[in-house]
Amino acid sequence: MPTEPEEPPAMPAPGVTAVNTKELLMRGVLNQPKQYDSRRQVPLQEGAFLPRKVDNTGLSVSRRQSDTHPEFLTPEQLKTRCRAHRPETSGVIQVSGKQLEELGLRIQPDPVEANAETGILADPGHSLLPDINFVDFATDIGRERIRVWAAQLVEIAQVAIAPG
Amino acid sequence: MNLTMNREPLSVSIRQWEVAFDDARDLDTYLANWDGEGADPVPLALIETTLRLLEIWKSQDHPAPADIYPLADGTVMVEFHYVSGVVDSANIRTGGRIEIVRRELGTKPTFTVIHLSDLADDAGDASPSNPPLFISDEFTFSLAT
Repeated sequence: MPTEPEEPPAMPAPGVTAVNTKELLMRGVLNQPKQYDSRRQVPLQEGAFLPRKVDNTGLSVSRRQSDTHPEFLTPEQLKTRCRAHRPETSGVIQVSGKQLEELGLRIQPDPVEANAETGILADPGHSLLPDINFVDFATDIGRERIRVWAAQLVEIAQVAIAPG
Repeated sequence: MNLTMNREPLSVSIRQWEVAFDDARDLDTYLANWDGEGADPVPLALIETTLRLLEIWKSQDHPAPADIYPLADGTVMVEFHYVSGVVDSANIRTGGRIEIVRRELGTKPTFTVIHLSDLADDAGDASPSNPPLFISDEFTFSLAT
């Protein structure tokens, strides 16, 4: 049986707003075949939404800046930050909260504060998709769920900044 | 289970079989932590399984895969892309377990599990009693039951 991911809090932490279904959630993609390949009819690849070992509590996404939330990152800012961490990262994709909800995926706000020691930059809109986590991915049942979700996300995600 | 697609050009794969075999052999260059975030290396046995699968598919005149790459848990993904836009992603795991997700625009992806033993007999050849994963001229996706 898959291990249940950590349940998201019933209410966001003080000062943290819940994700609205109209919001856009962004994710950096690597310019390599397993995540994004411009030669393909559908350039996005399943690998863009599969968890890595560091994703034990969920897949990272970032809430996109809007009039309602000017404190969040723009796609350009996310790209810059991703490139600083992973130079091969050169694109940003996005899906709406509504699309994630329709897939049955939960969104858990998980703001990141800046840390001068580690060099981590602040991302007040950082969130997790707790249903897509590496713990479940290690089980047969969880793996099936996550791979189908990843394939669906490939079809619906929009490219905010194309790699290249 | 039997999924059949319309007859169409074989593949949009831009890679040839030899490149695919080279890619599979190169899987041993992915050492521990190859993604910088703790990824597992691909076990030698899994590389051998991948090479055996490629031999089977090649022997059945199947189009070459478009991509072969490891996942963070050390398993192998082999992707087939077709002109229609359909994508078959086969994740090869230890023990000869093969998990295939078929993506087709506008439909919910399907998930199917088969085993290497479904595809080949003891001699390593495609078994006549067990249909191949793909039949290239009709794109019939057949599974032994």
